[in-house]
Amino acid sequence: MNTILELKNINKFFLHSQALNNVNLSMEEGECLGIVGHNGAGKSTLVNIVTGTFGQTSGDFYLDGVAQDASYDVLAANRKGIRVVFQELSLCPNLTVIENMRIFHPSLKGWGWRQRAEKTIMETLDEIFPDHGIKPNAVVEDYSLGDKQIVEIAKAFTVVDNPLRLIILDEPTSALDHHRSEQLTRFLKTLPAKKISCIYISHLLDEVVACTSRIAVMKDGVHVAGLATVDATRQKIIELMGEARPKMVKDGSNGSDGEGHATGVTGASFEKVPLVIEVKNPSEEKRISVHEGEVIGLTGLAGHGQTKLLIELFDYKKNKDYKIRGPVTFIPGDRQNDGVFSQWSITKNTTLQVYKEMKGAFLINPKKEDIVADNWRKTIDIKTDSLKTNILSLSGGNQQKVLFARCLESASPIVLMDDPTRGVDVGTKEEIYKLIIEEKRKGRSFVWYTTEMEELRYCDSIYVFKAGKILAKLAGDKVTEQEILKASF
Amino acid sequence: MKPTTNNSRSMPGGWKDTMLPLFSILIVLIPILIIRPRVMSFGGFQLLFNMAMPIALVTIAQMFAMSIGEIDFSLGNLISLVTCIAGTIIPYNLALGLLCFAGILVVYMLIGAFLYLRKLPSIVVTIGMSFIWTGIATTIQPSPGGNVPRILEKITGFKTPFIPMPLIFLAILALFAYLIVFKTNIGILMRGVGGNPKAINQSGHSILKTQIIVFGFVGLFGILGGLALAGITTSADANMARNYTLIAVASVILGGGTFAGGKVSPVGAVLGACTMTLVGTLLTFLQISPDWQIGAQGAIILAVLFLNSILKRRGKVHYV
Amino acid sequence: MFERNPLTASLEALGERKWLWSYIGAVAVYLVISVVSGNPMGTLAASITFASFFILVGIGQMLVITNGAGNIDLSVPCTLAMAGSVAMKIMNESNGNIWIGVIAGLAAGAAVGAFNFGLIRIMLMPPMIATMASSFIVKTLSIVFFRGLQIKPPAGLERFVNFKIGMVPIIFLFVLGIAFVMHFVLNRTPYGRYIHAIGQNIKAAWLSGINVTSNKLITYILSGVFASLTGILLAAFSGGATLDMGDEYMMNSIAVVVLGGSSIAGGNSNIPGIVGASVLLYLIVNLLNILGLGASLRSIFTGIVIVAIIFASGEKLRKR
Repeated sequence: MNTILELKNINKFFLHSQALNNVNLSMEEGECLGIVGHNGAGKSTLVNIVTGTFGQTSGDFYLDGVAQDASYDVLAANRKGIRVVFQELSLCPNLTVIENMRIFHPSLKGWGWRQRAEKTIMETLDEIFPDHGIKPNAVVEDYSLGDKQIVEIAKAFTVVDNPLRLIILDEPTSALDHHRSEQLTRFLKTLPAKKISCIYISHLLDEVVACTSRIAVMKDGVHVAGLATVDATRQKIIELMGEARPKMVKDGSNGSDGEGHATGVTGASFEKVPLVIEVKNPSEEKRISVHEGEVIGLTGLAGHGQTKLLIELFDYKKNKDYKIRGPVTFIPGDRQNDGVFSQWSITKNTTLQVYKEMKGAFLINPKKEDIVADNWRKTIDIKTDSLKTNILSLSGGNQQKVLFARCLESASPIVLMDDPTRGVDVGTKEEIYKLIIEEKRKGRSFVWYTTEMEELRYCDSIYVFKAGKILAKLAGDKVTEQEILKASF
Repeated sequence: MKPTTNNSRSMPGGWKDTMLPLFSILIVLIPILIIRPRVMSFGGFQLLFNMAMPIALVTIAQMFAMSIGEIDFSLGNLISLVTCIAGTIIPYNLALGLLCFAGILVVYMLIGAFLYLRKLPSIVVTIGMSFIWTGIATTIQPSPGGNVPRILEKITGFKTPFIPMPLIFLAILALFAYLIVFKTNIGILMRGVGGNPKAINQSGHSILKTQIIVFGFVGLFGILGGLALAGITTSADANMARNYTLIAVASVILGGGTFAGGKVSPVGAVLGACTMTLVGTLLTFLQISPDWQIGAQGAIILAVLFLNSILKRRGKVHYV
Repeated sequence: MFERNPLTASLEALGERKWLWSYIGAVAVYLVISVVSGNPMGTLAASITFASFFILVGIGQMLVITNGAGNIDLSVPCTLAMAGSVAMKIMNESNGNIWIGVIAGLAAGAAVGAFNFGLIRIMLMPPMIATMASSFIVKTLSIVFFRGLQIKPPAGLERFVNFKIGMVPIIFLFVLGIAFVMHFVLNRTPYGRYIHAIGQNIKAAWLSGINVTSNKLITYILSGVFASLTGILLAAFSGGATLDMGDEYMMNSIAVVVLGGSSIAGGNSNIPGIVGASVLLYLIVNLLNILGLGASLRSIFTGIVIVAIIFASGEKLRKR
């Protein structure tokens, strides 16, 4: 049996976080490997390295026994027969199915390419999804999400010149109904015979068990466990996902969570405390309630509706589902796109929400501005020589601190946080947690979406999201990581 | 399990795209025929659709720009310049005139390249170009007049039996543009770039080459539009066609195009151009004084674009 | 350890202060003019008078551009002309009506600005289309109501506009004062900060609680007001309003914004740059006139300046 893929001691660092920690993984030809893990497990990073989107920081990556160097990129991966189907569409929605084939396979040109393209895609569609009903000359955009997905999947399996060796499917059934998912599963089972290897990433553990021959469990960038699918049950996988290992961080400090598997959500009682966010008509999607001085955690797998809720709460004047008392402030996690004003100084980025406080007669008083910014610099230790320099001169963690300062300086009693410690170093995270606890004591309420399990211990109660719905409300100091995992998957 | 489709369109740029502009032409044409029944004749249709030729050519030029998500705000100025070149330089020295046209094409292709390479905003770049074109035009032709070659006049005034020549020309233009957009490789790439540039890039195609070729088309059809205008009006005028830029945009949108790129309908665009031309005629027949005409044109363009955005019901996030 | 070469250091500092370039350029061009022209002092006085008009429209245009990529006001020339006409008509050559004429003119400009924003926000038009279409409508209204009317400004106003303190035209001081005020508005008022935030990152601005709609509305209204103020002063200066007096200001307003160092992508503004760029631009216009090169060349030159500066300030496309 040929080892098609091997990752040896792969590490991947991004500025202040470690996405992959000493990962060792190998795949035989014809194998279907499932990769499962919670948020931040490193699944996407792994896929990106294999598909050539970016390279590893250290470690070796072998394809067919040959080490790949820095020249390995997406085009090289394609040539070697590695394809990937992501959740986001790589089809051109305004082109027809056949025209998309032309784009995907540049070698489909010359006389009669349309017939060849049609033959290839139709045959593949017929093979995987026998009753697909897709017309080759139909514009992709006209089809439903599910149909777009089956075209996307089929396209990835079409072979024109380079043979297909490894297909990576990242949450392939999220847009598919039950019937289609079953068809896909059935098809994937035929791959080993054709010597086509497959990596299957999904949070739907039952599916993973159905399609794969081996499962790799990842957590926090570590390949925690591998097991043969025949030995795997949903329960067992969840247990393995909760295996904690000490995290090695770049500055050498040991960031283990110390408390074993429990997150220790405080579960403090807020019965007598007034509500700042009250739901009008509770339902599966809308059940949040927040009291004064309470910290609510939103968790579950990333992208399952948490940010959407935060934005809905932010638009509080237009929100018809909740009664929201008082202004709301929003601390973003995606600094670059949602928070930082890259042409401004640190001072200007800090004082954006509090001009009323700093105005003289008509004009903003620069001295007052400087005082406000300087106070925050001292309070949360923003590491900089001068507050007048451009904000991009700060490290990512310090930039995040500025965003905290901006929002906490405002008078808003409700603070929404959209995974604000993303890509922030451990030291800064600790300072941020301290800050939140302080503010909470002053009576501020927090709705905190986080992708890191450990942060939930600062929350009074947590809501677990799955597919846009809230599946569970958990409170109390006995809440364990296992319970959260069970609800998320 | 049958796929669930949003609408029954299965041909790109298909019948739904053509319905709206066809419908719009009728809305404008029918009142014209009611007011002046005499128009319903060979000669009448000839006159009605004469001016549609340059407008349609400019519209196709704009359509190419918009298909990759850009826009050319200098088209009106460009075609005025072309009439000046046709009226001033060509009669004097044909080779020089052709050289000028070649130069314009090169400039357009460079613009296409640099818009991509330097991530420049096409609005402001083409607004800048519009001043350059007008400046050159007024330099070579300070006041209207010139000596447009007779051959241009003959070509644009060519009489065909049975069906008026403009209609034939418009049909051929629509067909030609359709073939380029839907049946050639560059057409697929162009629409792909407008629809999902990332996917194009990742499959190893060159967005740069696409931009260069597409902008070459913009320049080419702009030049043809100018030549047609010169032939019809037999006048070289630096300020003649400044309104055409916006009319072209409205025609493309009316024909089913979008600002974001990716969706183009050449047939719709040509029909849209005809509609906008007829609007001008209708306004004249309604005896709306020339003073009001430009304002009415502006209002109609706004109405067209507004209706279009309602009908398309774009779900973009608006922080505005 | 080596000492920084003072020349390199000062060149570096210069590079960071883009607006300084226009002043240096202005001085350079003025030196050339004083060599070539017969009356350097008089030329300077005239130049800064005319530059004042550039400054005013430049400020309005800059406010709009600062709001972010895609925002531009193409209705400046028509608003300018219309407001000038409105003001002159209401003043009716009488000194007593000066203030009410000014208010009426400014109100007209504000109305156009609000209308523009309405098109953008409610009818979901891209700003370039909205403002261009609205310019058609404004132009029509101007033609209809003011064509042929040649009303002279009231004597008092004319005197004010042409008044000089020593060698310095009072209008320049007036405009400088406005620029000074706007500088503070942009840097030290919440409104100023908000539009910079919106221009840099509209989503982040919205998430910071900024009311994007109302701030943009104010901006477009201000642009209309600045254009109309320019029109009123220009009409007073030139002895009356004409319908085409605003035509040159389209390219000039954009040119001084770009030349003055404001980013065309929005998010940063540069009032000192506008002042320097306006003086520079007019001096160059003047030089071209002295050298006998006419309006056409001016147009070409302005276009080249715009394109060149945008090109130079574009980002390099990063692969991957």
